[in-house]
Amino acid sequence: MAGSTPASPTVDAAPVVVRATTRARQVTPWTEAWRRFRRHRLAVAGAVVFVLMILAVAFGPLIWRVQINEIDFTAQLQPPSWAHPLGTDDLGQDLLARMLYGGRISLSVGLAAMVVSIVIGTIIGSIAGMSRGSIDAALMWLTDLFLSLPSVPVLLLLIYLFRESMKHLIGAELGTFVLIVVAIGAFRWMIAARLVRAQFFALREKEFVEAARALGASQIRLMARHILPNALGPVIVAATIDVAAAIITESTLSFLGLGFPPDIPSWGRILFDAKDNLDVAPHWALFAGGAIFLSVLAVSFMGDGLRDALDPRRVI
Amino acid sequence: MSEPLLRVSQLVKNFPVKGGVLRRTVDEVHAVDHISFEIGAGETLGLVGESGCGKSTTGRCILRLIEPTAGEIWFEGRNVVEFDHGELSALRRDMQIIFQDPYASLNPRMTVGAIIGEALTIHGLAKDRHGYEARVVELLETVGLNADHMRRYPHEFSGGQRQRIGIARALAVSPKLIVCDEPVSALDVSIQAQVINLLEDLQEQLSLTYLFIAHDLSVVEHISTRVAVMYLGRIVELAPARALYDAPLHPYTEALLSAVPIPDPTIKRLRIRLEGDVPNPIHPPTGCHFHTRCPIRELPLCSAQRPELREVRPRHWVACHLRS
Repeated sequence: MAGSTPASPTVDAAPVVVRATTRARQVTPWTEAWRRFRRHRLAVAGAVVFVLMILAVAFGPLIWRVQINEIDFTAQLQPPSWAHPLGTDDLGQDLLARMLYGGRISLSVGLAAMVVSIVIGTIIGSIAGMSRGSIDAALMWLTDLFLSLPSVPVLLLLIYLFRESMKHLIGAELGTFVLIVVAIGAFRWMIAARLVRAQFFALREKEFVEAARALGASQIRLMARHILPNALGPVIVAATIDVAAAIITESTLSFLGLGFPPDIPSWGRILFDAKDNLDVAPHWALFAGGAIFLSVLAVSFMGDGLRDALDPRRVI
Repeated sequence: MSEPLLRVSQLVKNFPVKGGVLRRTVDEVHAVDHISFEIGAGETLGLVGESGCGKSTTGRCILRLIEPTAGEIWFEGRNVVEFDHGELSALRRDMQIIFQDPYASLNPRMTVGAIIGEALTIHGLAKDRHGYEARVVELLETVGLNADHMRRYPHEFSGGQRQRIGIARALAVSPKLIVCDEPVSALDVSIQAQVINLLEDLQEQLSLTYLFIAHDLSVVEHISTRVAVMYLGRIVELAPARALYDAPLHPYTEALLSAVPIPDPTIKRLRIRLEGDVPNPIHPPTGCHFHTRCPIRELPLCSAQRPELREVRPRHWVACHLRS
């Protein structure tokens, strides 16, 4: 086979090119990844559930037009009925309306905080992983410092300090949203940073990275094209966990009175309010908890599918 | 003889050994210890030795993938060691490397076309998309693959095919010198022959110069013009391939050659067995590095003085007190 290598590398390669381009159905890496993602059944199921949830919270309040703060003392703690499909809480407020509205907050907080924490973590982890010596050491001290801080008290302090100024700046609801997302993200990037750094340390000694260096690739190119794509698997898994953690952290903050104002429901808030009435009105906690559970599960399956779809070595 | 393509002079590479709480450098591994050699244009210099003797480190120092501790590397009359960032980038077009492990040396998340074409993008060697694809296809066919392979991923290929992809990647910049770092050691014997023949064909077509690193003496004998034998960071013998294999001078070379299997069970020959292991390169033996295992040593001479590489016969250099 080797003996029959073409006589010269400058022989006319043109006819071959024509064949190659006419034959090619232009498979970009993204269409390929999408094809592979669709083969992953759980991931597709997760994606369907997640999209349905987003559609429900986005358009649900337009269809189910019951007010979220309509108090009705004649209908306290009622189980599901036609008038109130998910029942009512201790003030007689309709739970379906509150769940649909709360989902907007919980899902957007979860996703936005995840993006914040993964972006910060990936940037810090990449810089630490690419550089040797003092920069790496300094960034890891910073990471350890953040890991050792008790997050809830610091979160409370942050929100307590900045809530009023944010409220004046961009309004109560959006201000609280941005503050909560940034605060949660700022305390959850350390895991991603450590993961990315560890992956970088293992990958930068690989021969294909050395080959790219021998070709003259810049540091940025090495990072973006060769190391980071191979480091993403664990990061995606960490990201799905972050979504869940952010939804739950938001509910903790709301519970402590420093999240969204009490009249604005979120799934976490509904769940916490429900805990005192578990014996008389279990449906209250069940629906809120079920929604959190389902969204976290859906995101995590999507993460698995995404990880596999982006790894060409996996046969799916 | 005119100026060689590559001239390495007194190259040294020490790796620090860090220890203690403060991560201070407590010791040094003497991976490459004052070695000098030349490679003429169109020549293949074989570099052989046991694992850990500094062969690969030498190759990577020449490419400045590892920064040498001391010494000079003259390539086309310019000292590579003093190159700045821009000059180094230009050097990447003249010198390339082929790696040992065809599984670790290709990025699993890039298509073969992207792997081979990356150098074209980095150095701006393709005018447009069409020129880029044409060049990638040309490179694939040069190494005996075809255009259909462009959109596939490395894991879909066998070891031999992967090594061809690695060769095509190195050829993309039309280099003058290629460091072949044990390019066939990880392959089946039948595939080894194919890849060796491919490398020979390419050398002829593209007038390439090779530094061919290996631990398999028969492979090196086949492809090399001249062969350098390394032991514990030093070159102990350097001679034209024929002369080295027919009449080795250094006792270490003799021992190595006597260990090459002969594919004929009726032939009996004297095996020279070396005692013990290769000494620790952190504290190499004094004098001649080989004196601790040498069957013909004469103490105290061999342990006291470092033998210099001397031209004992025409173009046949050896570093041994007793054989020169």
